[in-house]
Amino acid sequence: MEEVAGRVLVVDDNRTNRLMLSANLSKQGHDVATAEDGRVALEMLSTGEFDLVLLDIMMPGMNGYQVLESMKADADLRNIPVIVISALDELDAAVRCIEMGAEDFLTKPFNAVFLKARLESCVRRKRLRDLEQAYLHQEMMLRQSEKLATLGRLSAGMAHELNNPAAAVQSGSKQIRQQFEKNLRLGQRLRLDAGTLGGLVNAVMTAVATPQVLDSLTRSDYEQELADWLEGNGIENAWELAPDVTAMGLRVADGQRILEQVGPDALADTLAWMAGSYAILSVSKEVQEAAQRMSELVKALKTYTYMDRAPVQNVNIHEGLENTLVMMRSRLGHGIQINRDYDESIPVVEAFSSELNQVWTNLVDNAAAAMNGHGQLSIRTRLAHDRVVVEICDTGPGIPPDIQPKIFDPFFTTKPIGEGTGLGLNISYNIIVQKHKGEITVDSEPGRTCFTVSIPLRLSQS
Amino acid sequence: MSNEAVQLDSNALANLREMVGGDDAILSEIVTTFLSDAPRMLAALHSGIDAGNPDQVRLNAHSLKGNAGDFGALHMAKLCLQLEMMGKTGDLNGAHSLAAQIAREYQGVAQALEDLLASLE
Repeated sequence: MEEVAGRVLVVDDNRTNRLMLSANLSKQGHDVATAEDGRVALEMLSTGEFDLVLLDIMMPGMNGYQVLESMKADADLRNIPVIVISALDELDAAVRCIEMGAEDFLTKPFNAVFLKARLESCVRRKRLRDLEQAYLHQEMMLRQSEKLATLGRLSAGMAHELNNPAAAVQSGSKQIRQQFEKNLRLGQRLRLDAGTLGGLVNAVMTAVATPQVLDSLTRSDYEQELADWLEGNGIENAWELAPDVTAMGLRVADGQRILEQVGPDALADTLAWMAGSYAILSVSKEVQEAAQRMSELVKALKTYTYMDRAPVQNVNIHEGLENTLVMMRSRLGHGIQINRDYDESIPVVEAFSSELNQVWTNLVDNAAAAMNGHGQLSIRTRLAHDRVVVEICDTGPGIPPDIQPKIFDPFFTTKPIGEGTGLGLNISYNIIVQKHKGEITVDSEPGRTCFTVSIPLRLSQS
Repeated sequence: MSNEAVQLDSNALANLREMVGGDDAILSEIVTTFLSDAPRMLAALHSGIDAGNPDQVRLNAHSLKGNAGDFGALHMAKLCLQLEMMGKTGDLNGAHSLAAQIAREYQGVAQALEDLLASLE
């Protein structure tokens, strides 16, 4: 067995004992410090790193029991193993110490062989526990960072999704204001009678209600016709006006009618006023749609995270999947087609709602990564007895058979260092298997990878 | 006060030698330390009895008992255990004479340890 050396604190009020123990321990290769009473010992423990304490029970002032008690009450010292030193005639004291959390005991007179064996096994156990603690701590940090990374990806996606409608609202409202000012001036100049005005307003309203969809060739023909006609009627900015009027769906015949109503002097202003009104109304509609889109996104975000709600909810599986897709829209990009095959007969499922969305997010995110911007994402749901089955499939290159058994292991990743923690699928696995008593499996070949999640309709009581 | 020759237990001494890894220099340092600290502890036995402080008696007897055991002074260790028990129960009747007995035994132990030291030179 390899040599085990540690930093040991010897606590004994008797100088001869301290000397004897530190001589022995130093010869064994340990790094030894000594304390002549409990108070000094606790001070040394709080400032230094120790692997082990050899503690005499019977000491004046603060005795061994009190030292042990203080150590066990202190989170920083609790894990340092303590071996108590007791006389053969006071084994009940040693037992009491073990009950208080001492790791082991040694009897006097000291015996070199026992001392070495017990000390080494003690230090070895401490090392293992430290390693375990360090590992657990590291894993906890990584799990946290994985959560943050998911959150980061989602916020980046959300920022992107919100940015487009926000830009539309901003430029749209500016456009509306400018156009409205122009129209007010035009209206002042025109001084139209109520009958004529009514006809023009109706024409604009009809145009807004029935937007024209023209292919570009036809539209440019119409614009050309209209521009020629306008020019023929002495209108200077015919080429500027023609496209706006055509956009309303008005053609030469409509222009002719308007000309008869308002006369040649007012024709240009009238058409400009109509085109302006049309623009105001259609841009308002766009602004309204953009604002609605933003509010839908925020609503999706709210339901996605189940903010301010109990962890266990009656979950509509499709709603969760759809919200996830909303959140992941920019991650998926335009090159990925989404196919849905939802079984609408699936009832609500009792589940950890937010965690479940984390699973969909991980699976969709992996699918998106595998397809690299091009392919098909297929989501299929079905009811199988008392279980809901969700399949998320992509058309990526597939997972090589030799690594398929490892993909749910913690820290397993195929992504370059710094890009993945290797915890996404492991977290998904824990959420499905441990929290929901469900199953998650993968079936993959080149061009088709399917993750199948199945969870019971009700959480088990345990 | 007559000094009887005290024999230190050879098993205990062999054990002690093993504890220090056969290092004579450390062994003599340990013996010297005990010889220098023991009189203070012996004195504390008496002062504890005089002051009616059984804890002080118990602690010092305990400490002496341990050292005596390590050096193979088995009789002294036994006497110290008796006094330690008196301290533990708080009944110090006859403690003075027991403490005197321990001090007397210590004279022989100290002599034997001096001899041991001389042999280590």
